[in-house]
Amino acid sequence: MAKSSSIDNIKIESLDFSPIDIKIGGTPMTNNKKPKFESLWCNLPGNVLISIVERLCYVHQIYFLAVCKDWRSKIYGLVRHSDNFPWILAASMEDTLSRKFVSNSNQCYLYDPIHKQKYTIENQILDGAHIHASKFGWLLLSRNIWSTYFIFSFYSPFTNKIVELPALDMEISAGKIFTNVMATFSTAPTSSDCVI
Amino acid sequence: MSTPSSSVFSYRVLKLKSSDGEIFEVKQTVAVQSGVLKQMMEDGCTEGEIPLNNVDSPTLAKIIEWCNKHHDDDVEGRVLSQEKEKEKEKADMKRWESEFIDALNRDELYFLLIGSNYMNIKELLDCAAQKVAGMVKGKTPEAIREMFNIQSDFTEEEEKAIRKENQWAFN
Repeated sequence: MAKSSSIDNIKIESLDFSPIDIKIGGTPMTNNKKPKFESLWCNLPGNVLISIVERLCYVHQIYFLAVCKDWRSKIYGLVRHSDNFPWILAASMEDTLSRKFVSNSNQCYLYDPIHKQKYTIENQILDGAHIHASKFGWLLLSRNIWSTYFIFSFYSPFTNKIVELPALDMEISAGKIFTNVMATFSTAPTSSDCVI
Repeated sequence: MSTPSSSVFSYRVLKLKSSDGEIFEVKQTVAVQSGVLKQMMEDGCTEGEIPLNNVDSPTLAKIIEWCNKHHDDDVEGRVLSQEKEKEKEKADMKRWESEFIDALNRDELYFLLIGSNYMNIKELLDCAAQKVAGMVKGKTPEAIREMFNIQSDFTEEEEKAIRKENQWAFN
């Protein structure tokens, strides 16, 4: 994980992903109920909607997709966004003797360098988690759950999704555990060939 | 009417029929900007009236105006010797395009999107899509709905779920 700088106890990590790879996640809303009132604009064909949305940055796409069911169901998960620069992830960390880079709050910040916007992310999973790597819009975290057992998990601050992995016994010999664990991953955890 | 020098196109003028029955005559060299009409010309099936069921006459008139403007009918006769002239021409065209798009009202813009998509005129669709993107840029879902007169058809729970998915963006 590349550490770019640190300001007091805030370490800023470069969020190492190409925004092009990020698709807006989750499940599309079903279109089972006919709206009472229909605007012309609700009926735009999917490829016209894509042509519009492709020209918007990530955050504005999120707003666009939240307008009506028809738009959402036609373009959900199909769009790439126009941002070309990586965002910055900042989290408040503390260094302890035994473990480094452990987040000491349930918040982190996303910073969009182009629009100079800061967004606050809140999730309990962040509190006390060791942040190992940041790629493809996902963070690889680990936490000590009991004695020598650790749980690694993936967390996407953009979509608030969590992929939890089975607990891992990190004991090497009689109560001793790996202290400075390094970990990274090969592809997004949603892909079938992701290796940690 | 003389026979065309390039042989794939057997008719020089196409007769386009709008959804409301109006006939527009368009030069083949202009119509070729439409992917759909180009394909028809290549297949040799452009004889008689070509019905465009998704495009009404005011929209078709606008589309033809665009295509006429973007059609270079004097390529051999006009050699642009200087880069400067080319640049100026490009800038003039950009200005014309934005004036053309900005002059449309919301409904006209909508039908132009539908028509250019239907006729597969990529440049025009791109230009109209760019206009809409500029209109919605930075606006909240509520503001976008208001602008296009769209009523939210999400249930309260669905709306909540959408917001939860990207909570940070809505704060």
